Amino acid sequence: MRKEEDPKKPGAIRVENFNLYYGNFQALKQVNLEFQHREVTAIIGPSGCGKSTLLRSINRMNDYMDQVRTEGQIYHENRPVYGPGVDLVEHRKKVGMVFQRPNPFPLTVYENVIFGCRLHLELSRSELDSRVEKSLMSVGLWEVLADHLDQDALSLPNEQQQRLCIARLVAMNPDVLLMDEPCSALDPIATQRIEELIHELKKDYTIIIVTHNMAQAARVSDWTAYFYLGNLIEFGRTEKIFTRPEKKETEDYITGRFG
Amino acid sequence: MRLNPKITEKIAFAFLFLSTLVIVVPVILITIELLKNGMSVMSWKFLTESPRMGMRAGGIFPAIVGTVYLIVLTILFALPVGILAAIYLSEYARDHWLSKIIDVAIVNLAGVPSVVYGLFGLGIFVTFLNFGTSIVAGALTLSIMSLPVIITSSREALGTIPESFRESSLALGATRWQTIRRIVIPNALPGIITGAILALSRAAGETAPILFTVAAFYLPHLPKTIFDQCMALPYHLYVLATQVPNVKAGVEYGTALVLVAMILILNLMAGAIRSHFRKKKQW
Repeated sequence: MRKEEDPKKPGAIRVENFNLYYGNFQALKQVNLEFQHREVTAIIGPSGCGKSTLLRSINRMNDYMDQVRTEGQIYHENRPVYGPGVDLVEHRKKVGMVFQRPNPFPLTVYENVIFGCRLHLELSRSELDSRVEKSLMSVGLWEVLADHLDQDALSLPNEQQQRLCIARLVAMNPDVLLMDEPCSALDPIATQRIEELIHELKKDYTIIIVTHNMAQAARVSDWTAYFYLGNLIEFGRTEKIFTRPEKKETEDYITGRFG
Repeated sequence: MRLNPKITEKIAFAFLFLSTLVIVVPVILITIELLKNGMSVMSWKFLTESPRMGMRAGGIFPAIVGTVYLIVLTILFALPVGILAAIYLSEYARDHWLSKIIDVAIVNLAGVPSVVYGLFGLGIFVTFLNFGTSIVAGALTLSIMSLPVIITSSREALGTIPESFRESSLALGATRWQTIRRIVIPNALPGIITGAILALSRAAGETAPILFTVAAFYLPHLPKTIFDQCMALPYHLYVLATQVPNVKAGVEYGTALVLVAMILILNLMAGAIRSHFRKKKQW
């Protein structure tokens, strides 16, 4: 299904002249990029190109590292993400993150799903129950785990743990999901099923996924951004990037001549 | 000439094993010695009566009570401060010169001889703060002495919590404190408690810190408030061994046996907590 492109409508996330430094090392250089609503954008590039750094910048997970300095701005629905007066808690409720390794908390399945809700909302037991059901349903775990909500989340297989981590975000009604190589710890079959899930989720969420796996980028994304050494080299429709890239570097990377 | 690896293996094994024996043998000898000489005086009366005839007869009840008071009060003082400081240092403090100085200070505090803590306690708590020679002064002195160890072991426990737990909690919009309270502390607590108990069990057996701050040579009655003096097992043992002539050897050994048993119980508790939670731990 192709969606209409409306050039005037601003994207869900807009990155403007964004620079990021780790001490003296510049990890991101003048990045300008817009992520469209309810579409999947893949960020690809060789290790150290800044793709994870950019993803982490979007919900400010780099704040906790020493000596990180940023310039420029990132907007979420036209609201700035950096600067005084930004409510990080509000921002992260709306922009959730899935990490490389599944990292559920050492709590029950139920408590994992509602961890965020407990932090931010005063919900009754029945409201919590229905959130758990809805969230697990949307990541395809409800049928498997409906009778095991009290199970320790860390005892689940890897794929289910990763789905649970997504459910944990979904429970807070976010609008953007950031995924940092969400399948790198999974076997090929689990990877395929997570990719199918991403396909499902994009009906409701804007998804930005960092991946090392070019085939995966081609399969799951609508847009692809290629990064190299902190620079955004090329950005465009995935089918175009993978069939007729404009830049020689992009072509070299995609065809596996380098990287 | 190169030695045959099979021979060097045997030599290495022999040295490693002998070194281990060197540690274990004294423990066994001490235990046997205490049991052999101490069991003769061990009785319900010995544990529940006050000393009589210039400590040559009767029991050691006031000293047991005093030591229990000191342990409990030291826990109340040292545990909260130690845990909170450890949380600050491992979760909040950034890596710069001030935190490095604090690190060095803590390591050095752990190495200060206990008699110095005793004199410090005398100067600060007994004299300057005017608590007098009292249980509070003694417990505070023991607390100060235990803090470096509690802080260090608590930091280690906090350090074992995977960074990914903190990261995902923060990414869900939790504040640092919410992350610490809901994720970090519950999972680090067994390790923290274990370390704290071990630190306190060491403090419970110390003589020098309580020498000038709380310990009484002999008291006919039990302490009524924490501002009273009390007797304590380590000091009582010291008194029996050096200040009272013609004590039956069994009384000394019996006292030592009770002290060692109390410390052993504390250590076993620490071990039990650790193994209980290790079984539940999944990461």
